Amino acid sequence: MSDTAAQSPADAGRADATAGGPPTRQTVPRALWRWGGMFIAPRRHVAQLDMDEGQRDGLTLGLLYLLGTSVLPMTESVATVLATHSIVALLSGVGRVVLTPIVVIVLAETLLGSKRGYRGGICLLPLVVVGTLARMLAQLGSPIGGHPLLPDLVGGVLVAALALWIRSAVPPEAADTKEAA
Amino acid sequence: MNRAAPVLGAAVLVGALAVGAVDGKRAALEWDTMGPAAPGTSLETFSVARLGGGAFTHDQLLGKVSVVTFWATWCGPCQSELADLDELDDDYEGRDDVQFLAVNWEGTGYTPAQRRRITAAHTQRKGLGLPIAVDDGDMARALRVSAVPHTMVVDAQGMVRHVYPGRVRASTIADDIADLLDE
Repeated sequence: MSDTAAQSPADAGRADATAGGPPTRQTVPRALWRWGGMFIAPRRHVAQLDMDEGQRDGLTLGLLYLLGTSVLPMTESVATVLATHSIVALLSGVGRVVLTPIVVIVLAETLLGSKRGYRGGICLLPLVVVGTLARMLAQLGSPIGGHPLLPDLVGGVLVAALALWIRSAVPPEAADTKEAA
Repeated sequence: MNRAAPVLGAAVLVGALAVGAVDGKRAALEWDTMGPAAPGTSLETFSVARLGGGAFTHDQLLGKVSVVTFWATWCGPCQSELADLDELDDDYEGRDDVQFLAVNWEGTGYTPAQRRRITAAHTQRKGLGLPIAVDDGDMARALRVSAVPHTMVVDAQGMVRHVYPGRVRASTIADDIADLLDE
C-alpha cells in the first residue's frame, strides 16, 4: 500500500462552498472519496481530512454493514418474533445484528483515544468489507465455514489495527472544538 | 490516486447494496418459510443421526411429550441450557411419556465425520447424558431453526406447543411438560 495523499475533492469542496453552493465535502462523492482513500494511504488521508467532516461515517458504515451482512438475519428475527411473540427473540435478534458494529466502533474510538476518537467511524471500513465479502461468498455457494463470527472477528481485528495505525496521524480535537460540538 | 479513492469507496457502497439486495430478494421469496415452526403447527418430517448410532425420526415424536433443543459447541448460552436440560432429563429418567433430544447444529463447513467427532468430544467433555443427535442442517431447515440455542416442546401428537428462541430456563420447560402431561 502506498502512502501518498488523495487530494482534489477536498479542494473542490472548499471551492463549491466558497461559490455559495452546498459544500461538496458533505455529499456522497466526498464520502466515497473519504472511504476509498482509507484503502490507499490511510495515515496521509486522515491527516488531510477536515476535522468536522465524516461525523456520520460510523452510522453510515454501520448501516452498510447491516445491509451487507444482516438482511437475512434481520428478516429471520422479524419472522421469529411474529411466530413466537417473544420479547427475548426480539432482543436477541436486534442484539445479534447491531452488537458487532457497536462493539467494534467503541473499540476503534477507544484505541484512537478521546481526542482522536471522532475518526472512529471511518475505521469500520474493514469490518464492512470483510463482512460483505464473506456474505458474498456464501451467496455464491462458497461459504468460508468455521465459526459464524469469524468474519466479524477478522474485521474487528483489522479495524483495531487500522485505528492503531492512523492514530498518530489523526489531528487531535481541541478542547474548545469538542465543547462547541 | 485521485481517481482510485472514489472508485474504491464506491465499490464498498455498491458491494454492500448488491449483497443486501440479493439477500432482500431471497428474504421476500422465502418469507413464508422464515421464522421457526410456530406453536400450533405440526412439524415437517425429518430424520437426524443419533450420536450413538441410528436415527431419530419424526415418527418417534408421536406418543410422547418431546423437548427438542438445538445447540452448538461454540455457543455459550447453549452450554448452560444443555446442562440444565441434562438435569431435567435425569428427573424424567425411566418415564416413557417424556423424551429429550439435543440436536447439535454446528453450522456449515464441516464434513459429517467432523461433526460427529466435534459433538462426541464435546459431549464427553461436558459429561452430558441426554440423547444427542448431529444435524447437517436438514433438520434445522425442516424445523426452521435459524439460530441456537433454540428449544421447542412438542406434544404427543407431534404438534409444536412451545418455542423458545434463545436461552430458556429449565423450570419453564418443566412447567410446559407438566401442563402437556396433564392434558
